[in-house]
Amino acid sequence: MQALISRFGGTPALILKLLFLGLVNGLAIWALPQLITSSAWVMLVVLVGATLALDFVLLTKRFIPAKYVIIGAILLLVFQLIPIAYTVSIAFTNYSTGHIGTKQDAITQIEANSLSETDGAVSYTMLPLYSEGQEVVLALTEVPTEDTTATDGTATDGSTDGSTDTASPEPSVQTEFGGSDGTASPEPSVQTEFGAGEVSTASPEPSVQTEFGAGEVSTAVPSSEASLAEDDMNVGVTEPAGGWPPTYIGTDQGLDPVDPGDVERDATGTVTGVVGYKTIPEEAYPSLDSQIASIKVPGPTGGYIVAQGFGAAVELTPVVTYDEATDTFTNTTSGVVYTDNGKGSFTNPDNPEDELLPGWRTGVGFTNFYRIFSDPDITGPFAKVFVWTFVFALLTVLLTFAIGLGLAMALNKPGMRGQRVYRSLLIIPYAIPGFLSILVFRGLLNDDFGAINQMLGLNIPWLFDPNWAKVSVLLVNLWLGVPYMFLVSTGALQAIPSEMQEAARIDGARSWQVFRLVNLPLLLVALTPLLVASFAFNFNNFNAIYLLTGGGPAMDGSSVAGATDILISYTYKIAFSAGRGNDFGLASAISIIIFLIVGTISGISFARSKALREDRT
Amino acid sequence: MTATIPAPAPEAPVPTRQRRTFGAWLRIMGWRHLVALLALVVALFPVLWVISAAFTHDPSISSGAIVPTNPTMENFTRLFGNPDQPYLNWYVNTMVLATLVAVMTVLIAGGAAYAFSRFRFKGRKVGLMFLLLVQMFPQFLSLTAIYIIMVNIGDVFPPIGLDSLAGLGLVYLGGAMGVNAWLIKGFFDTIPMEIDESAKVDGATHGQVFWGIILPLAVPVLAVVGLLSFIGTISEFIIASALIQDPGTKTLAVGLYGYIANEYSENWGPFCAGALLAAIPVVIVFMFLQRFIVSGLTAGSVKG
Repeated sequence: MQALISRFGGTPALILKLLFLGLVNGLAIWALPQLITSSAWVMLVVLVGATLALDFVLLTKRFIPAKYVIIGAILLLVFQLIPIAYTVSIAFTNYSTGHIGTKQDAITQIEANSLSETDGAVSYTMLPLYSEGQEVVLALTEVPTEDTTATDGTATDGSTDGSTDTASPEPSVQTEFGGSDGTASPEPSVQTEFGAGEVSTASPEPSVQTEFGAGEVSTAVPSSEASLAEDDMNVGVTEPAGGWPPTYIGTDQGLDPVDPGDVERDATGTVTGVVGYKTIPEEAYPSLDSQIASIKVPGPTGGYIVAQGFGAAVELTPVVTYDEATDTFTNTTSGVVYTDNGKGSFTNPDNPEDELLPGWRTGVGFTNFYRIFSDPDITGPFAKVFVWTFVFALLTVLLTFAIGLGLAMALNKPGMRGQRVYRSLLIIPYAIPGFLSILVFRGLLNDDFGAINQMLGLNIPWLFDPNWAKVSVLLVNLWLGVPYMFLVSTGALQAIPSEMQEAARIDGARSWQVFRLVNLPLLLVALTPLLVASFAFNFNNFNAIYLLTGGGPAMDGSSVAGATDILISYTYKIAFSAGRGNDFGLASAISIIIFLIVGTISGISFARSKALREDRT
Repeated sequence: MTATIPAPAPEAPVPTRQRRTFGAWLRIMGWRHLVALLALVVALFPVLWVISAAFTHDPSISSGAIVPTNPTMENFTRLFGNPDQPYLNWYVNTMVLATLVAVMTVLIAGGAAYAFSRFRFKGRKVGLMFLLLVQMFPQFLSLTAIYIIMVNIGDVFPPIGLDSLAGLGLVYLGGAMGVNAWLIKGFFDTIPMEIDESAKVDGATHGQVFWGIILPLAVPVLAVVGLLSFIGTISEFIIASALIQDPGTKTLAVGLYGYIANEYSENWGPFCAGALLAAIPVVIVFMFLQRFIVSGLTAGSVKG
């Protein structure tokens, strides 16, 4: 035993330990300045705390048991406990598409979003230039008013009259915002999981489609925009009948008229430069995107001239203006005053549906939980999903157990030939990774080319009819789950002492009575914890649903929930489904409800099980 | 001499006994074979079908014959020859990730089990209860939070942030202790304390007892925990799909789902080939460790 023991420990182990600690400490020290500059305080505290704890526990001899727990405990803290705490905190906020940033971000964006072309506003062709001080300025050339159509629609106001738009059946207004640079720009913003989706203000029908860049500014140049602007120039400037339209140098300070003699033009009349300013090569435009977009030139009608892409500019006036003193927005045309509604939005007090977008992220108390039980768009689907989750989990457990136990009893006969072969082959479905089997069944059950319809000569819409889809999900889950129950039932059956059955038989019990009065109670004692665990597992069996049907087919009256959705897949869709809004607050609230259900059920079973009592002390 | 071979006498009842026992055999044994065969057909049909489909030209229009009429390797060529869907990357990613996660899970949970089984310290009971409680909140329920945390970590340590297998592995290890530590602790508790005590008398440290005595004696339960962690990691979809977007970094579950989610019938043949290749190593490992499983599972369940 000495030889065996001495292989472990000693100098190599010490060197390994020191190497590991050196690496951890080195990384922590390297990361510290970054964390401080980016004000990532939570991460800083966790990192410093974890590193010190590791050093302390592994280098001293005072906490021997902690040496064996510390690494797992740190991982548990960072990737399980902190996420749980974070989830709980999100559940009490309105964190969702349209409520991502801070209030200050929202105010900036609302002002930027509400910029709209005023009547008689002048459009300009634009040429970015460098001034002598290497500042980016805009050479702006007026476009005669009848040719301004090219820029129409790219910066129309889509949010200030949100309620009007949602109420009307007309085609919705599509507005894209560039993000925190504070400018309505026509570039498509980077779509992040969190940054895209629709915000429905009043009605469930698709309404104002608003995309937020969440602070990210796209650097991609949409070529169509550039060519659109060029066409515009050609149309507007080829005929210099009444002389060339005036050209200005636009800066944040204002419009500075350029002497017509200083303007350089090419053959088509397009402005290509201004004397005294340096031209910028077109390839450099994308890198200057945010600089160009951030220039707000005070215009003649009281608004701001801002760039539309790289070739055009238009004067825009904010429709709503923010008043810091009263913390309100005022619509300059209608006079409506929007106030902070305490739920992360500026709304019209007379019509709470009239909301300025975007809002901001803020605490909303139990609103998300309240919505689950009162919001008609959520309550109905949630109730159906809730019931189906229980039906799915319960039926799965009961049926897999019944079939698994039946098989185990059929094969549990001393002297039966081929027993081992049967057993080995029957648990193959358990050995195959579940996701593979589910995806295979997705193909087998395809109503069009699936082998099951083809071989049986059927034409059943296994995955596309709400009721058949439920049957399919259950059947596939039985296929996945029976081998497990077969395995554990076999083990439990073999553990039942045969004397008890013999004794029952001698007392005159029939086979059925032996099973019902002797075997089953003993089996249930042994297997109840496993059945409860199986229920908890299937209650959250995301793969079995999502990979087979995606939760579908669609449920009537819900844009999110499908007929086979269980709570966890429903939650996933609320939080992450692409192309829709991401409602993290609601998703987190449902997560907590799931936890409470599963936790209660497991808690009761654990309290009843002997797990804790068996622990010898 | 002849008396020693009373040949005809005992032969006479044999036919009658066989006739009588065939009915009894059917009643006692035969139906069991029928049930078992029926179960085998249901259990193995999809498996055999996939094996066959992997070698069939276009399984979506095939007659469904179990033995392919014109076996072809075309599906495998297509599977490996698609640079937009780098199956080989997914395969290597998944197998390496699952192996490392399984090994680390065994070590982390084994260490925790050792501490809770062999040491008496303040907060031990609370710690054990806490592990059970935490386990009731599966990691994927806090998916949103994990996503945001990984975005933040990635800003500082890109190698373990989003789109990183190392980061994904660390997230999985966050859930490694819980039930696994309980399962292993149950086994450790059955190893007599006298063994470690005699080793300590011989001069062994706590580390030497752990690595040299306890772990080798607990191989069955460690094998079960490792195996279930291995299969669980391979099958995990929800966290991997949220954290990994880059095609070359995907795991098999995320990659293969995307592979057929949109163009099912077109990719059906190569998918079957890919599924077959993915299942083979797992089934082999499973069969190899099978003898440990029943005892491990009944000691405390993990997979449902």
